[in-house]
Amino acid sequence: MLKIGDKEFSSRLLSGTGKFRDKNDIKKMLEKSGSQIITIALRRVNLENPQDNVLNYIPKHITLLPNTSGARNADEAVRIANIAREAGCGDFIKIEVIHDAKYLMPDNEETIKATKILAKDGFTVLPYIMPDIVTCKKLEDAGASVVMPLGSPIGSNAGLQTKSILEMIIENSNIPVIVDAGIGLPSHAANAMEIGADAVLINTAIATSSNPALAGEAFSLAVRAGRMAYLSKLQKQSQYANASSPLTGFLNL
Amino acid sequence: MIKIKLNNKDKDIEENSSISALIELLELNPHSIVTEVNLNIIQKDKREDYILNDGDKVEIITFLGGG
Repeated sequence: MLKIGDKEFSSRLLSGTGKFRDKNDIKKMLEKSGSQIITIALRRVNLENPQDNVLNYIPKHITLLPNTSGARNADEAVRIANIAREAGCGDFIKIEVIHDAKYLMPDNEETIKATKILAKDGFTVLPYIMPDIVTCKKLEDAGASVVMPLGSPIGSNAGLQTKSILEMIIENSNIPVIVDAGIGLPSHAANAMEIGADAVLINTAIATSSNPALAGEAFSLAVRAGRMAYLSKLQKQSQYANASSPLTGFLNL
Repeated sequence: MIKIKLNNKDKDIEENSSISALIELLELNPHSIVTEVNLNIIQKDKREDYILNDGDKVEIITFLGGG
């Protein structure tokens, strides 16, 4: 089971509500993928053209993970977190502090600040970060419930470009590590789980596929396969062959 | 009339307007929004009684798709 804060989850696939062409696909995707946690964002209502509230499309048993996207510093992230909690979304919060428009890289320093404040205030904090061991330790000390290092830039589908650092983080972390951002294929997700990630968060790859329910199911199978591979301690690669059959000749024993 | 800042834009509204009256004026669904006045969240059941003052900063927020 994946334990985050005081909740336990059987699914290790976290999903997101961004970029769906048809919001009705969200529910079907959740059913097929088995994902139990989904991200949402908060924004000012566009008064000229009010948007549909995405909460209307998410079944009640799903754990909501509001993100602080749009926040450019710790104070803004804290404010968004408080609005989300007051609005009845529970106390899970994904901290996302970004002011780099080109690569959408998170600001680890501001993220640590926000984590300190929100963890003290009773939130279950899931910070989205640039993979860095020192940051992860500081987040642990600050009361983060998990760390969510990125695999590659948000929405890039580029996979685990940060793999060697992710491996170091996983080896040293005392809290769950969830690989967030950049996972574009089920094989990327499986790979993240094989190296020992506790879970993955996938939004773009699922939401922008032509069949989000099917894609969600594919990712969920990959996550399970990768997890089982990790638990079964598969052996490392070798440069040379290693016979699987006895090396003696057929008849001369 | 009084002047408020609504989602960071100037807006003139009738004196003694409640938040609920503002929501109605804007033709918004009261169940799908969060209302904040001067950085304080005003809960759904308090909107009817909360009278807006000149210069109030009102934010109306909703939940959208996001990753």
